[in-house]
Amino acid sequence: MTNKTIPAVPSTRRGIGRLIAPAVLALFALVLLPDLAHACPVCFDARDENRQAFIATAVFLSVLPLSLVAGAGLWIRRRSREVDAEEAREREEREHSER
Amino acid sequence: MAAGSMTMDVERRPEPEPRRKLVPDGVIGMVTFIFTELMFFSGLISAHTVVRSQVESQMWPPFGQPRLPVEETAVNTTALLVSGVVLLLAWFAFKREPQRAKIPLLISIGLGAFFVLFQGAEWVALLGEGLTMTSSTYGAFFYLIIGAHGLHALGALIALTWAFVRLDKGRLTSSELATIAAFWYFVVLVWPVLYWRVYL
Repeated sequence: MTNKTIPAVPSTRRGIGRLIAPAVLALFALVLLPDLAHACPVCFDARDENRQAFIATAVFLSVLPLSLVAGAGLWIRRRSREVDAEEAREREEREHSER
Repeated sequence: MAAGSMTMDVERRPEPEPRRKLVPDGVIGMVTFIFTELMFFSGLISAHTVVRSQVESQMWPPFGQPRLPVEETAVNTTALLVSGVVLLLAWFAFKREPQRAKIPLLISIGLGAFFVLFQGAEWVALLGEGLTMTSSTYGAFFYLIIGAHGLHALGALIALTWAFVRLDKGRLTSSELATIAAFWYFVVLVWPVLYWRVYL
């Protein structure tokens, strides 16, 4: 039995080797992240009103699109049930009149 | 038996009935547009809230800036809200008999026009008092937020007038009225929030 590697297929060792450089870069980025976090406008202002305003508006702007989509989904679901009920009623009436 | 001559007796089933539309296409389009507009106004209001919270003395309007006409605008707000209610009555009337919606639709347009004209008069007075887009952040936010709403109100009024003309000619469909009414309800319902955040 021969143990030759096929040149066209990269070996596992080479694949891991390729990941080392991005992993080191990611580690550096993580080490530098706390410095970036200080740039967050909510973190540096000691005034309570300003911090609260930032947090409140961030929560509001995050929740609003989700609630809009959820609301639209619920509305369409309710409308679908209404249309189903209307159609069933009409079908029954038609069948009843045919008899 | 040749393969080409093989036939199958297939019992033909009746075609399924086409399903009724859940929501008219126009309403779906308008609702999507309203979602984007809601996010636009939310962004403006959020920016306004943050800037307002940064004022050192917590005094709003800032020192040296004219006070907004809160009481007069409250009357105007009532006119706009009543216009929304009357449009709802027009919708119910349209469902019973389209021509019955003419008078409530006209009243709704009249109240909307009153709102826009009153806003215009208010702006003229404020400009006279020195409040401009460049006079302060306060002025910039006021004209940007209230101006954006005013433009929407004007657009919706034009659409309502178009709907009235179509109704008068007997050509208005319920889908068209629902689409335009959705936009007017957006203009009406977003206003109290703007009034609360900008004026009070």
